[in-house]
Amino acid sequence: MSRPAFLPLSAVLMASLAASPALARDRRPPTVYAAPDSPGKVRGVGTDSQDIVAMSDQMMRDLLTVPQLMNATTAPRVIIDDAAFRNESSEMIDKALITDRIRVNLNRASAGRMRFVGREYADVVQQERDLKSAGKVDVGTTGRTRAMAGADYRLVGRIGTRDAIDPRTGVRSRYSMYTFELLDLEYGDIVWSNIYEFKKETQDNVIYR
Amino acid sequence: MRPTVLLAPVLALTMPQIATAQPGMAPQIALAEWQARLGKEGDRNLVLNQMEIDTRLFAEKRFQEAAAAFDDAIAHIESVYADDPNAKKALSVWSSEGAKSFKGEPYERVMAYFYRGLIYLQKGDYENARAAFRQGQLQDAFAQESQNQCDFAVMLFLEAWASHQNGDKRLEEETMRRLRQIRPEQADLPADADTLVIAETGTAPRKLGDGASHAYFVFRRGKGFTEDRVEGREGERPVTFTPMEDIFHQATTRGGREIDRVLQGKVAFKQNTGGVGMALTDVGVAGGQINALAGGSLGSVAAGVSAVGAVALLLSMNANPTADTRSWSSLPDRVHVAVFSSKIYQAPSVTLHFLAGEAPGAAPDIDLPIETDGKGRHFAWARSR
Repeated sequence: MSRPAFLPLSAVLMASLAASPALARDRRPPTVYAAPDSPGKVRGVGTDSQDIVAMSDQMMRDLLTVPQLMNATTAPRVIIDDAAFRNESSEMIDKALITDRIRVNLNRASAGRMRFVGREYADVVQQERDLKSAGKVDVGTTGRTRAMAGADYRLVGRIGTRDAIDPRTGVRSRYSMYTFELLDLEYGDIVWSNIYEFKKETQDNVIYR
Repeated sequence: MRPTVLLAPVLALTMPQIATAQPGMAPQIALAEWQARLGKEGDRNLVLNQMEIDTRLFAEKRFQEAAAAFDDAIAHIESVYADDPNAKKALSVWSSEGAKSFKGEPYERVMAYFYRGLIYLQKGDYENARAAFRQGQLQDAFAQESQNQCDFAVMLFLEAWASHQNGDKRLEEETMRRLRQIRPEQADLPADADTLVIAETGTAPRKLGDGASHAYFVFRRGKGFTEDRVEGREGERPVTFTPMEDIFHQATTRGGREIDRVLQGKVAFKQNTGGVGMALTDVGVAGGQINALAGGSLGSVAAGVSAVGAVALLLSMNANPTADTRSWSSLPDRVHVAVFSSKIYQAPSVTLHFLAGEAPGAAPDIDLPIETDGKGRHFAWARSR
């Protein structure tokens, strides 16, 4: 065997193997701001931030067209929180992200044509009222009322999902439906309804099936 | 002289070393060590390290921290890794399956949702608890045989329990019907039940490499325990625990994986190139001997054949079909549940007695305090090991 011919070839081979990178040390990128309404890097079939932004904006714009809210002689009182917004889906979600966004934007857009009752803060209000009643603090600048504000309407709703998986191909899909309704708290009828729905499909790398 | 003797020590220096968790060793590793690994090992072991951290935080009742850690792990489990560079590397002939970013086998992914759901229950967030138990079942959808798909009974039971706690009778009944498809003997939840006690026994299933080049793995039941049943007592009153899940059974009934075919292909490549390489180097060496006898006229041919053989041997030695044996070491072997009404069982704690069949197990009794969740219902969790 010709040793000189063999050695350079081996050296080239070994050099090329050595040049193959070892497992790259993971370098986490520095924290960066990302737009809430843009798709993130961590994606699946669930509700993303851009879905929350889109649905809350859509519901808010639609609520501004409800005659009972916008054309009343006296500004109606509305409760918009997550207490009556039911999650019956397969998705773990903070419902308040959606209802808070609707309430804040609607409050700003309605410019006083509606009044928003902070019922989830009722215990805080009652605590202050008790202090005033006991004379431990003065009555403030707006005077006393007989009771806390009652509400005329309340946002209610439901989150539902339908999941499907193909075990052969690993394709997963989820249909999500967010139902929003405005309930008359005196008569019990529903004065407004809307739905935000979407379906996502994904297929993971074969190595995870 | 065969080129393989010269090349082997050099190749040992150049081949990447991939660290894998050693089965059986991990339970002795403390929380701080796993947290250190989380910082050092990056995305490849992020989910595995988070899982190990999560169970330790959960056991220490550091629920808020455990919730954040589980949410991070679940976000990565749910994320699609279609273009993940580590996943692509693991599919390559030159890297083992362990190069991929760990997500866990289906039973491990389900258990991530199990613990996350328990944290929601402990907080009184029954809707998200239900969602966690429901979503976790979807991770069990990849079993090869249909009867083993979505058959995680404890997840169905807890989904029904979350609906029960939330006052959703219709959803509770629907889920109990689905549970009875795999557990026909399962009774309805008592209408006045407001207390859930979960007892885990044993240690996690072990994943061991097997076959040529450890190209597949087998599961073995966890080691170092005998207990497989739980009896409870509240004062003198017995508390009945139902064995609701066998984690080892779930691990072993998954069946074949898509990656198994890839790994078998890598094994075939390794064996074929190795065989060709050995044959060609033998020819080259023989040719060199003939060349010497023939006065040197065959020198370059023999050298070329040896070189090709050496390349084939190099390729064979670098092919890596090893299956991924990383596993979540701090899971239990079995999960047992008991539900009852606090109006009937009013003591602040329940005593757990662990059995191996009908005989007492080696694990000591636990006097388990019953805690109150965010909505005034009751919850308790304990593990024998």
